[in-house]
Order: sequence, then C-alpha cells, then structure tokens
Amino acid sequence: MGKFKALIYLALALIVAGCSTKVSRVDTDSTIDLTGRWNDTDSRLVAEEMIEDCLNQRWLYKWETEGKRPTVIVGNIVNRSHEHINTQTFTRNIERELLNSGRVQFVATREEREQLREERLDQAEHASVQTQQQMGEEYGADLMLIGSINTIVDQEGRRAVIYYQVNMELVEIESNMKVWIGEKQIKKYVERASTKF
Amino acid sequence: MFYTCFTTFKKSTAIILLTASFLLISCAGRSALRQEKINKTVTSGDFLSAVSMIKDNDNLYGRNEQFLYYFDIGVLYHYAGLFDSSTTYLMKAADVHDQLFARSITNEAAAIMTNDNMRPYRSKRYELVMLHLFTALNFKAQGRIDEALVESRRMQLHFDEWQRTDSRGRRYTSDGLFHLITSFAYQQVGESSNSLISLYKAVQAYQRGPVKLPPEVKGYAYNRFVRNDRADDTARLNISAPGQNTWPERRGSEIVLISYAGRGPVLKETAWSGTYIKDGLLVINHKGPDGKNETISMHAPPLPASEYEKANEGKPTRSGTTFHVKFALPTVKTFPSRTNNFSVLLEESGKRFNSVMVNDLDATTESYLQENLNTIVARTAVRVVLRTIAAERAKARVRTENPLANLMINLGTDVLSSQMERADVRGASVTPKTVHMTRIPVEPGVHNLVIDAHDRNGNVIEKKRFEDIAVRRGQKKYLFHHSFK
Repeated sequence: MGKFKALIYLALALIVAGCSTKVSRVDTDSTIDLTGRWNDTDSRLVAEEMIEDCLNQRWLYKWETEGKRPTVIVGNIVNRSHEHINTQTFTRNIERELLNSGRVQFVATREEREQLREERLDQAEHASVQTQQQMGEEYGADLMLIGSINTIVDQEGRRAVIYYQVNMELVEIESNMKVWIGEKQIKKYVERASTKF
Repeated sequence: MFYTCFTTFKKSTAIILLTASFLLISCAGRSALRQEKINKTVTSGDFLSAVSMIKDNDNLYGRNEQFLYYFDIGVLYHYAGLFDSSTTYLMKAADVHDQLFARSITNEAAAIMTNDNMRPYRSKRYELVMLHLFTALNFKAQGRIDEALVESRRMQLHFDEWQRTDSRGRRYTSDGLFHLITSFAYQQVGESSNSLISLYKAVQAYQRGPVKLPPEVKGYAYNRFVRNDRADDTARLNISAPGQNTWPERRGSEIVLISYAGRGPVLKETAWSGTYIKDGLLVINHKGPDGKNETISMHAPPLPASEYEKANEGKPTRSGTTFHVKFALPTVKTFPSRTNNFSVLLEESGKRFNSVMVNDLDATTESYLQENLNTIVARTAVRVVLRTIAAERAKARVRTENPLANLMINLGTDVLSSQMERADVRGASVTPKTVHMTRIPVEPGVHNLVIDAHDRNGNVIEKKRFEDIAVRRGQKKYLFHHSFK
C-alpha cells in the first residue's frame, strides 16, 4: 500500500509540474527552433546577410564616388510561401541593417508618408507659423527595394524538408534599372514525433 | 462472501470503471448538447450571441475538443463578418490540428479500453478543408490576396499528403470548391498558369468527389483552358464545349457573393448489436431509419497465436465463448432546409444573377463517413470484443455462491460495459448545408445589391440588401450572405 501511495504522489507531482507555466528570458540573438517554421532568427539572419551582400556590390560605388548617399524606400516584400510570415518584421530588419550601415538613407513607406502628410495638413491649420513643417519638401527616393519570400516543401508523413528562398532586388526608380539582385536560401529538415505519452 | 469478494476484488477497478463511465457519458452528451444550444442562436442569425454562449460555456467542449471549440467560434465570427477575429480562431484550430500530429499512447490505450471519445478530436478531412477555406475567404474579404494564397498552399500540402497515402485513389483527397477559390486568387494576382492548374484540380475534384461539377464551372473551365492554349486539359478532364449555363471569363471588376444555406449535417449515434462467435466471426446488425436491416460480418479481432493453438486443440481460450456484443456507430443526420438557392439583383442595371451551388456538406459528410466506415467498424470491433471479454472474465472472477449477488455483479458489469460503448459523434456544429456562389460583373464604383433566398419552388423566402459596396478597377470584391432557414 505504501508503494501504491508513493506512486500516486509521484504521478500527482509530475502532473502538477507539467501543468505549471515556466518562463525564462533568453538572448534575442539566440537560435531557438520550436516548430520548424520561419521565425525571428531566420528573419534576422537573412536580413543581415542580404544587406551585407547588397552593400558590398558595385552599385553603391557610383553614389559614393560622387560623395552622395542614395535614398532608398522599401517596397513590397511579397509572401509567396506556405506560411503566414510577418513580412513587416523582415522589412524592418532590412531597413535597420541598411540604415545602420550609414551608407544609404531611407524615406518612409507609402502608408507612413500618408500619415505624415495628414500631420502636415493638420499643422498647417493648427501649428504656429514658426514651427509648422512645410508641404512639398519631401525627399524623393532614388531606389526601391522589393522582394519575395518563396517556399518549397517536400513532405512525407512526419518528415519534411522546407526550403525558403528570399529574393530581393534594388531598382532605380527613375530608370527602372535593377542595380542589385540578392538571394538567400534556408533549408530545414523537420521530423515530427509520431507518438507521445 | 459477496461483499468480501467485491471489496477485495476490485474496489479500485470499480471506481475506475464508474468514473470512466460517468466521464464518457458526459463526453458523448456534450456533442449533442452544444449542437442543440448553438443551433437556435445560429439559425436566428445572432452569431455573436452564439460566440458569447460558447465562450461562457467552454465546458460544452472538453479538453479533447479544443479543435472544435476554436473552429466553431472561427466560423461564427466569419458569418458575423468579423474577419480578423475569425482568422485568429481558425488559426488556433489549425495549430491544434498540427500539435495533434503526435498520437498520445496513453490516450490511444484509453480509447481501446473505453471508446474513441477519449482521444483528442483531430478533425475530419473536410472540416480541415473548410477551416482553410473560411480563412482564405476572410483574407479575400479584406483584400489580402497574398495571405489567402498562403492558405491555399498550406491546404495543398495536406492534399498532397492525403493523395500520397491513398493508394487506391478512392478517398477524399481534394476539394472542388477549395481549388476553385484558389484559382480565382491566383488569377487576381496575375499568376495565370497557377490559376489554370488550380482550375484543373477543381474540375478533377468535383468529378471524383461527392459534389457534382456545376455546369457553370465546367463551361468556365473549358473556355479558359481553350483560350489559354491548354486544350489538352479539356480532353484529359473529358469536358466538352459548354452550353448556355457558363460563367464568362471576367477580367474586370466583379462582386463575388458567397452564400451559405441551411444547417450543416451532424453525426448521431446508432446502436448495432450482434454476436461474437468464439475465435471466429463477428456478426452485427442494425435496423436503419427506413426499417431495413443492415448486417456486417467480419473476422473477430485477432487473438495471440498461443490462444489460436489452444482453440485448435479444443482447449478453453481467453476469448471465452460465444457472446452478445453491442456496438455504437456514427451515422450522418441531415437537416431539411427551406433555402434552396439565391438570386442577386444589381440595382443600377436591374440585372439579376443566379447563384451556383459549389459545395454540399451533406453529400461530403455522407461520403466521408462511408469511406471511413470500415476503419471505424474495425476499431470498434476490437474495442467491444476486448472489453466484453474483459467483462466476462471479471464476472467469472468475482462469482460468489450467492445467486443474487452474482446477478447484481453481472448486471452491474454489463451496464458499465455498455455505458462505455459510445460512438464518436464529435464534429463541427456550425457548418452550412450548402455553399453557393454568385458572380456579378460591375463597373468600378459604388453599388447596391438585393439578395433573394428562394425555396425549391422559386418562392422568395428571405431578402437582404447590401448598400454602398465600393469596387475598385479590376477588383474582385467578396461578400458573404447566409440563410439558415
């Protein structure tokens, strides 16, 4: 009977331990893959590597020899994958990497610009003349960064190979010339457990 | 003697059996209870009250029915036009489905001993298709076509996997409506080849599945294949030049109205009974609602080889002797609907457009259950026979010299054993009976529509007006309507 009781207590303890939520802080740069889906690490690593490649290509010399910093805008990053990927996070990573390099400058996105124009209109009516920002003084972007995220999934039962390909292009807005094409792939092998206790 | 024997034998067993039977009774009852509770509110069109009712009474869905909890709420939000909320819940349901990929050994063992309601509900294939369809439609309603296409790709992975495991090519592995919606989405983003491939799959799925290929879809597909230099596809699909009932190919602005009609089917339990013939056959029969007898005969669930050797030598085996068995199997219960079809009046032009039925959940559910019946019966047979043998052996062990006590033990064991036998009738409670589509070509601008729901004889039984629908150039605007009469 003693053994039986001990077993029951042990089982209860295990159940209670299993039920409690445990939270711990981790380094934002650490790599944690829980599901095999696109995650923050993929977004960060792809952004870093693509921008490094982008900044090391010839197109930028043309501007730098003239002592200029090109103005870039991030256009659409189309999600053609099988996962709902937050392309905004990815876009922000790209913007941050480019901007922090100090070699290019950015203008706000279409939606942000609309918001800013509304604010200027509001200022025109309500702000003092000395502090109000002027209309028609916006910076026009020289280049637009566009791209897509694609996936190919090869799946059989509990095993799957997921191949992500991120394509990005930098296009001169005036001439429609593509000055840089970048590509980054990630391949993941995911094996799911078929049984559990 | 009886009491001593009972207490020593199996106080713990009795408690376990009793608890299990109470749990199982409540499990099985929950499904019917929530259908009854939700149905009234849904039929009246008060979807948000139905959502509140579900959220306030989450005990209507057990821990094992999380998929259904999220799915039902997601569908109700979709009907109510709250697309973001709907998507949130439908995605939670999809996550539950993914997490249930790994089967719990404990749950499976419990299900063998008791019934399938002990296993977490994993969704039926057509429910998973509806889940991704509703999510895709939510995104379309919000003009987020790229996201709608993500749902198409996710579902395609399921279709591929189902087709891979369907060696005989007879099971539900694809869905006409899903591919049709996908085809429209690809066309919208300018991916013509992908759109035509999805259209091909749509026709193929309709031809193979329980829902008849609508002539409008057939004609539309024929024309698009021919115009896009894919005439070979028409030959492969064996579709000929269309008659009058055909959707024209529309490149301009369009309103696509998706209408849901009637209450979708549910599963109900039917009792089957029969005889287990020692070491041999299992014969079960049932009287259907039409009064006809249905009988299934099969080999009894296998015993260990040593038991067969004993049987061959004429020695008693663990399977005991011939005995009576009771089975509980699911059947489809459909509901009559007054709503038969829809027509839409475009007020500015006075033109009227008729709906096309693109999905029939009654037919899909019937067909799905039929193709899975063998598996369900086989699982049930193993379970019932094992449990009955266990009960027989338990009765034999506690047999006393008191005939009254013996009678009570026998009755008690039989009652507990039969209470445990429950069919798995869990399923979505709020799906529509049929889905209809109306395609309305419009000029860019603002439009008003009047939608009539018709009965079988063409009488208008419900009217609804949609006002100030803004459509941009080249936009396909998705609207949703329901008539659950």
